[in-house]
Amino acid sequence: MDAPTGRSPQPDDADPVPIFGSWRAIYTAVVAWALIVMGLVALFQRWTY
Amino acid sequence: MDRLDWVVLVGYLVAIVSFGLWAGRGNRRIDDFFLAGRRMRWWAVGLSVMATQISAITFVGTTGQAYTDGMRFLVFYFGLPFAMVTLCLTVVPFFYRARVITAYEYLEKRFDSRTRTLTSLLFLMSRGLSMGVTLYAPSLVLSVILGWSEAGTILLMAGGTIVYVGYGGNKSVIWTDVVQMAVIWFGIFLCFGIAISKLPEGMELRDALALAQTSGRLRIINPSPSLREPYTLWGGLIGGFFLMLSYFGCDQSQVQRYLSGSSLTQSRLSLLFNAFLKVPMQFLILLTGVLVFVFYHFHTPPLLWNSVEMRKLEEAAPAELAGVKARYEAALSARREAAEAFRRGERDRAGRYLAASTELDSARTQAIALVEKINGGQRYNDTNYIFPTYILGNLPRGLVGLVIAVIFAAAMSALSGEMNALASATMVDFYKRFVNRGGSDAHDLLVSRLATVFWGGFACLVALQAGKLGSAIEVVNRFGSYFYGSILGVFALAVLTPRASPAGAFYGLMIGMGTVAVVAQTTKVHFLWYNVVGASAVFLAGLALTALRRPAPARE
Repeated sequence: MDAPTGRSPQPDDADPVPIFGSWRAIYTAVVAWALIVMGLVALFQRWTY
Repeated sequence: MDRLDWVVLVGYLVAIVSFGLWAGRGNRRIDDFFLAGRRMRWWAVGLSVMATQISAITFVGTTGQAYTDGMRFLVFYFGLPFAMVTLCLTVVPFFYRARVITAYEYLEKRFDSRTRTLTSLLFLMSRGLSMGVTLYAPSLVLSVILGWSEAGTILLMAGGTIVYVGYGGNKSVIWTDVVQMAVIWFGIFLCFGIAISKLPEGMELRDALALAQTSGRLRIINPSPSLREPYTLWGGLIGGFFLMLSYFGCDQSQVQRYLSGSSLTQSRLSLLFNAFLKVPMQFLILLTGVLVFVFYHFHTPPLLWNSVEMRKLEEAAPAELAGVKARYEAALSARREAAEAFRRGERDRAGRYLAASTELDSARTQAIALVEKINGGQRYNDTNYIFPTYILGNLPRGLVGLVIAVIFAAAMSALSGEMNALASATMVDFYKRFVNRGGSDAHDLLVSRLATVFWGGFACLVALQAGKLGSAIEVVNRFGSYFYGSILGVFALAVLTPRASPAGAFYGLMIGMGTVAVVAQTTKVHFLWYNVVGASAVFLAGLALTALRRPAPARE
């Protein structure tokens, strides 16, 4: 396939991962957050108001 | 609407279009126009991803759904955080490193041109039609609630969006989405706060939640393993996971957003940003709908929320309607009495409350049957009218205009992303391959702008005709779900299996779509599972076809 015109050169990907420091930490945080939110939702549903 | 409301609404529209034009200046190449020069930061892209997903109907429809059906729709989003992590680990790096503008472009690099053409064509057909419905639905609601002209509302929403997206492309889309998302968040908190403040005197949030709990509106997690029941926990986690993978991983309206990131890190962070915020945001919107439901225990809700249909019914079947109305008012009065007792702390009245609620629902079902009868059997659903009716009747001057501006913001942010994505697929996947491969940057930019205007006009055309389509709208809404999962299966073959052949991917896609069509037509499996069926069928068929057509090893 011909390379289409009007494209930028390859960018670098040296940006640091903010706050969490590493990808493993941020992915773990997302999964943990999802589970916590689901737990809170379950608690919200079962709570006797 | 009061004059102050009009000032707020018109001021907002003028400001957002002007801001879009200002933010979108400086485009020189299609890379600028479609990917904002690949210079965007994660938080801006993340807000744009979120704004593209929220349409006006998501905003008014979700609150209405919480009113009628409770908060169980929340599980629809439970698979989203896991899908975002999966996408960051799989397709996002492939897309980013392949330097593509459209998701389907990657499929030609990995398989062949026919797979790219077919998937891009499916995207254009489904997204083009659904954009018309996205535009029609809020226009219809606003025309009924406010008495505006339906065509005028359609042209105002789409016209403003075409102006700034046609000029500024993705830069305008992303920066206006940032503003629109801020307006939407503000609107959500405002509506939530007002819903709490409108509870009757002496009633606390806890009492309101107790009432909602008794009515079953707080039931969210249903662990049933049934594939037929809507919004079960497993449907949300597994079906929702596949749906979100398809939407965020294979739909150009989302892929284009995060490919605008200045680096792979920025693109990934924009998706993870959504993984953190999406479920809490939907929770807040649904809870607002539940509080509106509680509010109408102490105020009189209309028998039908669509006032136009109500008037038609009054003229067509006054005698039958009078009987239904009497039944409805008696049930309403009984429910109010039980709710008042509930508020006083007499929780042992739950049985009486539930009986009155069942009677009320039954009277409404009777009224809906009458409407459907006078409309020749056409399905009636007034869920989308509940929240705008509440806003118009209960919000103070100025704030009504602001919330209507929020509805416009939600509609325009969804439209802008879709318009830009449709133009990019038209330009990159078709025009630059089949019509003019060697156009200058200025020529390509001009055609890209014309493609944006074309798709904006197409959406208006569909929206203006949608009222005559009747149940065809449902077909349009279901159209995408038939092949969304199948396209995901092709991308899974591309990314997860280095051995999958082009023929395996192409014919696997056909088999997947056929399988979903058969499942949809012959079973009552809920649509959330179609994506699981389609993706699995394509993946397995693609692998099987690859194995079958593998050339025999050469003999020595």
